[in-house]
Amino acid sequence: MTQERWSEVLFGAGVDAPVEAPSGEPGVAGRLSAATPRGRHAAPERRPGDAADPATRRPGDASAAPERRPAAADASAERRPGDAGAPAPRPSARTIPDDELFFGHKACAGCGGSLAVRAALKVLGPHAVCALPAGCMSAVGFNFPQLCFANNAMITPFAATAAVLTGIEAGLRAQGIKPEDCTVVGFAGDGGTADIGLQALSGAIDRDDDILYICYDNEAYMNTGIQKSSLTPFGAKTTTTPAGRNAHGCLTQKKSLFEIVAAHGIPYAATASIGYLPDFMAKVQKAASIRGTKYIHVMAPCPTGWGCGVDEAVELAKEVVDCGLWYLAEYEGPAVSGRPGGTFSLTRNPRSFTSVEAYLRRQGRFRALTDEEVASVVVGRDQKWEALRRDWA
Amino acid sequence: MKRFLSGDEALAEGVRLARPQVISAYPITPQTVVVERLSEMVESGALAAEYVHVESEHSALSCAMGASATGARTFTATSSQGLLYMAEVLTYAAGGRFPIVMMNANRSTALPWNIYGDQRDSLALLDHGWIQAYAESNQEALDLALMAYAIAEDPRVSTPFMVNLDGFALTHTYENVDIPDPEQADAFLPPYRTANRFDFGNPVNMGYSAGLEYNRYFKYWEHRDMAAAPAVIAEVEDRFAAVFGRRYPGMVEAYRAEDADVVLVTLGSVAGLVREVVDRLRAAGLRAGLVRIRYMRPFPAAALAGLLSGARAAGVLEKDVSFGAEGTVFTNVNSALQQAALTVPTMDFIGGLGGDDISAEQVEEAFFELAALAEVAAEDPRAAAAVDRVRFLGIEDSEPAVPADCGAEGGE
Repeated sequence: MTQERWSEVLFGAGVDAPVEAPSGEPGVAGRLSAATPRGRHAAPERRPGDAADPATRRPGDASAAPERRPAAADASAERRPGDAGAPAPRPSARTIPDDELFFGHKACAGCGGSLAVRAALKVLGPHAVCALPAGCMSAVGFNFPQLCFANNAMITPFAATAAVLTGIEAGLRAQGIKPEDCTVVGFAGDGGTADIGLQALSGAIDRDDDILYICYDNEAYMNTGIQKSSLTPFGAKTTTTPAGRNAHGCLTQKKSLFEIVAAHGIPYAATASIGYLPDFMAKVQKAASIRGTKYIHVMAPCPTGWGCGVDEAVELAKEVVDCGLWYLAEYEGPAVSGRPGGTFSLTRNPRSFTSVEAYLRRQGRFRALTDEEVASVVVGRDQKWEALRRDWA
Repeated sequence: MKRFLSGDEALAEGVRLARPQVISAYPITPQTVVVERLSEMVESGALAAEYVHVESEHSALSCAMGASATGARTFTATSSQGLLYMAEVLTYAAGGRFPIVMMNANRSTALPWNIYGDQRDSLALLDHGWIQAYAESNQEALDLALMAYAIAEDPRVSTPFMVNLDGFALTHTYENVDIPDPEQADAFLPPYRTANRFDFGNPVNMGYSAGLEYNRYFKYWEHRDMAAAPAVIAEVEDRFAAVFGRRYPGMVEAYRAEDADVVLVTLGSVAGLVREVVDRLRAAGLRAGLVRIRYMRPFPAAALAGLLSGARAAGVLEKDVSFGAEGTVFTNVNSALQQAALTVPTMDFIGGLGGDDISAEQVEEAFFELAALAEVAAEDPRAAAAVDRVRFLGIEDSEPAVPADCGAEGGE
C-alpha cells in the first residue's frame, strides 16, 4: 500500500488530500514517453587527438534531434556503430529538437540560468539524468507538484552536486546502464560550485567519474537574494557587498574556477556563455561524448541581480565576452588531448574588444564604480588576456 | 562458519552478504576497518560493488543517496564528527525515502577531541528520520547489517537505517562470530526492488521541494512509515530466525525484568556488563533486571512501558548527555512512562563518555541507588521527586574532577 502511495506521489497522481488543485501543470504532464536508453552515444569513443573544435562533432550525435521522434528513434536503433559516418552538425536553432525537457518553471523573466539548462538538455536528450543542488534552478523547477524536468532529475544537498552525480552514475553502472547512454549531468550555480560545492567537485574530478558538471554562473547567490559569491566580479553591488562611501561593491576578483578545474587534469573543461548559445551547446555535445569527468562553466546573466532589463540577459552574455571580461575557452586533459598536462585553447579570440565601460555602465550593480575603478577593470582585463593569448592561443 | 572477528569486521561480513551495489567510503576512526575490509572484498571479487572513494562524509551519504535514487542497494559507514558532518544529508536521505544502510561507530564528539566510544553522536541525530539500532555484540552487528536492508527496503518502511556499534568496545574487540553462507543470505534478502527510483520509460523528478500546503503530508508519512517499522522488524526477525536459526527479541530485550523491583535500561555493548551485575545482585537477593533498547528510532515506548510497569524504580544507563537537560535516552524513557500513565520513579546514570570505563561496581551502585529511590518513593512520592535524578558516573558531588595541575596548558 505504501508503494502505491509513493508511486502516486512520485508519478504525480496527487497526494492524500490536496487542499486544492495547484496552479500550473504538474511536470508529469510534460513527461516524454521515452523508450529505453537510446544508446545515442554508442558510437565509437572519442579518441585522443580528435579535433579540439567543438564544432567537429563525434559521429552519432547528429541523430540527437531526430531520435526523439519515434520513427527516427527506430532508425537510430538500427544504426550500427560503423554507420555513424556523417559528422554531427553543430547544434543550432535548426538542428536542436523542439521538445522541451525543462519547462513550466518559475524562473524570473529573462533568466539566463534557465536558458542554459533548457539548451543543455535539448542537446543531452530525454535520457539525461539531472541533479541540482539548492539554488535558483532547483527552487524554480522542483516545486511539488509542479515538477519541471521531463527527464529523470533530483535535488541534492547544496554542497553535494558532484557527489550525488557520482552516486547516480555508479548506481546506473552497477545496474548495467552505461553513462554514454544517459549523460549524468549536474546544474549548479556559481555559489554552489565555486564556494560550497568545490570540495565535492574536486573529489569527482579526482575519481574521474563519468559525469558532466555544468556551472551556470550568474555571479552571486541569486536565489537567496543577490549575495556575494567567490565568482562575483570586482565592483558588483550585492546585498552583502553594498555600495557605500567606503566600498563601491564587491572588493574581490572573480575566482578563476575554469583553471582550478583544469588543474586537476580533467578530461574536458570549457567556458561558455548563453550569449553564444551554439558554442555552449556544441561544448555540451562534445562533453557528452567524452568519458570521465567534464566541466562546463557557462555565463548566465541574471536581470534581477544584475540590474538590467529582462530582455538584456542574452545581449549582456554576449557583451561580456565581446568586451573581454569573460572568455570562451576549452581545456582538454591528457587523456583527451594526448598531450602531457593537457591543452588549453581559446574558442574565441577577439581582435579587438568592445567597451568595458559600456558593459559595466548598463548594469545597475556597477553603478557606484568610479571612472578610476572602471579603468582598473580594463587593466585587469588586458593583463588577463595577455596571459590567455600567451598561454592558450 | 565461525570466525574470530572484530565488530568492524563482522559488520563488513554482513554487508558483503547483503550485496550492496554501491559503497561510498570515507575513513574515520573507529569505523575505518569496515571500509578497509570492504575494499579488500571488492578487490578480491568477494563483493561485486562499485566502491567510491568519496572526499568527505557529506559526499559519502550524498553519493549513497544518488545511487539509491537509481534503485541500487547502497552502503556507507561513518562515526562521530563524520556523522555530524553529514547530518544535513541524513534528512535528505530520510525525506527522499532512500533505504540506505549506514554503519555508525559510536564515538565521542569534540571538543575535547576523543576517538573513543560514547553515543553522543548518533543520539544527537535521533530526529533526522533514520531508523537507529544499537548492537550489543559482534554477532548482532553482522546480523543487523542483513536485517537492516530487509527492514529499510520494505515498501511499508522505505526509510534509511543506521546500525550503531560502540566504538572500540565493539568495533575493535574480537569475538567468535558465525558467518552465514551466501546462499542463506540470498534466501533471506532478495535484491532491492523499488518504485522510488529513476525510470527511463517514465522519467521522474525526485527530492523536490514542497510548500506549506503539501509539506506536512510528506513529514507525516515519514513519521507514520517509521512508526510502522516495528511490525516489519518483527516479521524480518521471524524470517531471520527461520533462515539462520538465530532469534532476536524485537525492539527491546528484557533480561530478568519481569519480576524485577529495580530495572536498568540501557543500550549497546554495556548491556553485557549490566546482565552480569543483575545475576550477581539476584544471587544476593536484590530483584534486579535489565531492559536493553535495541531500537532508539522508532522508539518502542509502549514495549518499554510494559516492561517497566511492575518496577518500583527504573534507571537509564547511557553514554550521552544533552547538556543543560539530561541524557536523551532518559528523556525518551520518561516520556514512555508518562504516556503509559506510569509513576515509576526514574534516575539517569550518565557514564562512559569519551570511552570512559563503566565498572561493575558503578552498575551495582546504580542498582542500589534505584533501590533506595524506590524506598523513598514508597514512603513519600514527593520526597522521591526531590532527589537529584541525573548522576554522572565518576563525578563526585559537584566538585570539579579535574585537578588544578591538569589545566589546558601547552603540551610537553
